[in-house]
Amino acid sequence: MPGRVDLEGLRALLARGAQLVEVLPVAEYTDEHLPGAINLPLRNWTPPPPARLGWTGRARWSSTAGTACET
Amino acid sequence: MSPRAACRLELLGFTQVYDYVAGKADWPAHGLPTKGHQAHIPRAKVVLRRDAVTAHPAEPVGQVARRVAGSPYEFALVVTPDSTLLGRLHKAVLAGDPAARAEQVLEAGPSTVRADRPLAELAERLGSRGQHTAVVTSPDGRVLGVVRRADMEARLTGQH
Repeated sequence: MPGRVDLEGLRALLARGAQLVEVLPVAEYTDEHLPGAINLPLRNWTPPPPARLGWTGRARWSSTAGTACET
Repeated sequence: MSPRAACRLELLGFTQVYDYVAGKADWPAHGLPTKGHQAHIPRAKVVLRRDAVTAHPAEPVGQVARRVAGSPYEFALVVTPDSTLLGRLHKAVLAGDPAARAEQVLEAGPSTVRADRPLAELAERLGSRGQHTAVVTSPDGRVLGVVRRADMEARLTGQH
């Protein structure tokens, strides 16, 4: 199950190097997004998974940083 | 949308996935900066003042009134220790029984605005209601400060 974070939790994750991901459509992202967020529109996700998140094709992502998702 | 995306990331093999439950709008609503084409639109947070008098719920009104007399406003905000807004003490109440506790005479549930509210829209709203100030709170109800219509109008006309 994915973890759930509030604003304080999110800021703590970002301070530890987490990558913020916005999954809304491109237009909403370009209008306004959080600093440092990358845009991976959920509806566009088709295999292979988004390379921008560092997925290497192995079973697990090995980074120690968390990935925070925003709506 | 967000929980679904988080679950899909986990299914793809990412091991540390978190859902920012409150969502994207929560961030600017706390007065935090954003990026993008719409990020430059002036919002309430750019004229936010933190000089309104706050009072503890159990504080005697007379004591609060003395602080309000030295402030730019004619009201005080009654807040909990973690800054959650409980209500407002108006001018008439502040001139009343000095021994009354703030929590006994406060106006409960005053209207509030978010820090990311566009200035032009907010100035128009206050103007149409004949209001000069608005209390700004975070999505979880904590007081961030106060905005003044005069500040908004000056900002919108480029006076500061």
